Amino acid sequence: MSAQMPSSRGVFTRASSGLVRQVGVGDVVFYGWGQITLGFIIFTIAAWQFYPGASMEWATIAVTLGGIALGIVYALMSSVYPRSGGEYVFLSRILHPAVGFVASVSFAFWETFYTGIVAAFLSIFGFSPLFGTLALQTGNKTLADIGTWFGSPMGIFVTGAVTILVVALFVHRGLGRYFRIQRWGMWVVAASLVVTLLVLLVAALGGLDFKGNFDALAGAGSYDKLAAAGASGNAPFDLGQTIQFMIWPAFSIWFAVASVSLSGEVKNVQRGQLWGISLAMLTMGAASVGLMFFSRVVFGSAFLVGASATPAAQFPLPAPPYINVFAGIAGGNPLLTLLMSLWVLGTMIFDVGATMIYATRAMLAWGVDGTAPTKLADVSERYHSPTWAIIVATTVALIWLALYAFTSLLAILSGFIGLAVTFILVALGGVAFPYVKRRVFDSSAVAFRVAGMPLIAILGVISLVFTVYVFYRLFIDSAFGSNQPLPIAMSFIVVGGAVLWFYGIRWYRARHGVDLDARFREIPVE
Amino acid sequence: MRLYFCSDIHASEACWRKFLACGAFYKADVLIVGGDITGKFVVPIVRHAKGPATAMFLGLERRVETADEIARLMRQIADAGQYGALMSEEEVEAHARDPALLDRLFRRLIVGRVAEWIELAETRLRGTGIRCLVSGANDDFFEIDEALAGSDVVEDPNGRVVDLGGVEIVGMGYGNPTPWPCPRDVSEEELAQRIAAALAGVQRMDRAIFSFHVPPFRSGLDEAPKLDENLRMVMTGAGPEIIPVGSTAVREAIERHQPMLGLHGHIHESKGIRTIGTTTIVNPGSEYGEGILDGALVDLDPRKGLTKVQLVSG
Repeated sequence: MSAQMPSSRGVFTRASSGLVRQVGVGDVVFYGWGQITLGFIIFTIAAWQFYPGASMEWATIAVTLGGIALGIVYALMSSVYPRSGGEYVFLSRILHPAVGFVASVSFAFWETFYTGIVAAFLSIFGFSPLFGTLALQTGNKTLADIGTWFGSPMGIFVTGAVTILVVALFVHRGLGRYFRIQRWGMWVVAASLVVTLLVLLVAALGGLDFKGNFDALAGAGSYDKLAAAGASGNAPFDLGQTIQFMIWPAFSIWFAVASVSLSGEVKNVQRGQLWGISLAMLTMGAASVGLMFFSRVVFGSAFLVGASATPAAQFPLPAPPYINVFAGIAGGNPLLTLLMSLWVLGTMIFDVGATMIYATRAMLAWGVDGTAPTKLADVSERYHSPTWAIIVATTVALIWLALYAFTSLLAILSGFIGLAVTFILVALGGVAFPYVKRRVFDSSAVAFRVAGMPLIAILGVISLVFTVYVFYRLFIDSAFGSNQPLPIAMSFIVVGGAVLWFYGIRWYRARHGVDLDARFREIPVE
Repeated sequence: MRLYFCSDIHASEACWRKFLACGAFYKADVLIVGGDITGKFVVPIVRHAKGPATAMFLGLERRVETADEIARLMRQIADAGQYGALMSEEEVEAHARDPALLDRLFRRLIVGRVAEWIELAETRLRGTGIRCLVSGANDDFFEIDEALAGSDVVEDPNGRVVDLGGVEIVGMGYGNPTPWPCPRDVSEEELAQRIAAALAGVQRMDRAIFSFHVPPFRSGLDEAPKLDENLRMVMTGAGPEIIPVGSTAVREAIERHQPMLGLHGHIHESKGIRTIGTTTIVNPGSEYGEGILDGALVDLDPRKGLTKVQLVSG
């Protein structure tokens, strides 16, 4: 054997199986980046117009800090219940099996939803702006037509469907190849992001003339006209609007918590998790703040608001008013435009994969537990992947994609309510854990106390403040779009449906001689 | 007939006590542990010249002074599947320096706990009619076989056929090679030979249960994180990369003989129920470190054979 036996400080170990080293900080950060989907920042900045006086940067910083509190609750929980399937198991044990199941169903359902929606975003925020900008820079009409097609309902559907099916094929044929591509892809994403930030930095220092480039493409005076229309972009700082704006960056940054079940048997507080989740949020939070700050400096706050607020028909360019389009125009070079689009395309493609993998693993776990049809737990003997779970996730994602592409039934961010339910339940679990499972807490690796109070409960309360506030805003914020009847109804139907399903299948299994309650009923020690 | 099967309890006192309660709790006639009953960690509780004794348990320093506090910490350590050892600072340093001394300490503590467990099983189960089958597996030193053989209540099916009354069970604690030098790791070829020898006494394969610690290769019950050369999980943007690590010899035996049931463990994170041909195979998984006993309830009918398998966790 080439490596020494993994150990823990102050503990002796012997040669025995399963002793793996803790997940490294870098690995968790890498995983967290995949979950955050920085590409969402395009519509975050586009939505800024609805919050006059809001500081995008301070809102992002606040959300990052709140997210880190939630992330630490997740990490501490994973130290107590490692290798156990994340929030599903620890919520089942700490609160109630039905709660764990509902949290898992809600999260998996909306992850599948976003498999379809992000596949649509790929065209809307990635390919369409890319080809639109290239067309402007080269004067090539074919590129313009391609950009227009990518932005059309058929273009959105076909591109999204191909992406979903290709990702599903990779997931089914074994994840090894997909992961190898992803590793390389993430380096490309990082390089593209650095190029974008460098271009914006050069422009901010006066090395590139965005205003001149924009007017050259859109017509003299176009920049000033849009800036005049967006005067509210220069409104003085407003704390209330800034707090309300938090809902937008929270939607991407908080998802770095998903790395909860990456632990081994050498148990102590999983520092890889603690630092990894925190650093993933900090780095992506910093990248977001950087992109927001440079966008305001280079493009101008008033211009950004004016461009976002102008109806598409009146916008002076045949390309959407997104920051990736503006960054391309600032660079003034088709090659730079191509390079700067890769982080948007990459993060969205990998998010399609990440959401699908999460959902299929959750379905597999329900199938094994008997809380869903056991068919979902069937694994291909050839590829050892959950065939039926992948078929279900793919089919559902394609339906969402079609609904999004061809109808106006779905608001852009309608799934956040359902996802926020899980965050709230985990925060509640953090508060309850030291009191509900006192014996487990006292002997656990996370029995830290601050002024006599369990640290996990304190962080749970902080997380609860952020998550409940965001949850509340989701119901009243018209700009965000999730307060429409359908998204709200869907969120409650998923939660209510999961509760009904849990008790229904418990009854059904009981009739067939299977006691589902035994799945989590604790055996008396004596 | 109802069987309760679990595996990989790795010295967890809480799991063993729960296991012994399973007969009454789940109304099981036969209780089976499929191997890996011993622990991997010794936690020194260090006595100092001054002040309370200290121990690093689950990453936190614990300070204990009174006999009650020490006993409570010992119990917590045992419940988590570890061995507490009261030592002086000098003894800790000596064990850290000398692998042979540390090995002797492990063997003493492991054999001692197995002996205590057998005694407890005899106290709890003698006269109840509940049969109790326990075998060692790849992580277990051979010394525990002697302890198991000395009991009139606990039976060891390792490498032999045990008649359960119309149903036969065959045990196999040896496993295919792992990245760790485990006591009972053998090559796939040797494992195949040992399996063939153990199966020689089986009367009816369609009523046989293979209690082979290692799951069949590429069965869905053998999926574990891929490790790099430093025994660290290989991570991806969607979690750890998962690969099959089961035994080809076990798979071959199941494919060839098609027993009624395969009971497996070894891969803690790969719980599930699958089929290979007509054989149902089960891995209940393990969460011994949290004191949670993962198991499988198996209902058998003397005429129909296997009627139900359900995973439980308690």
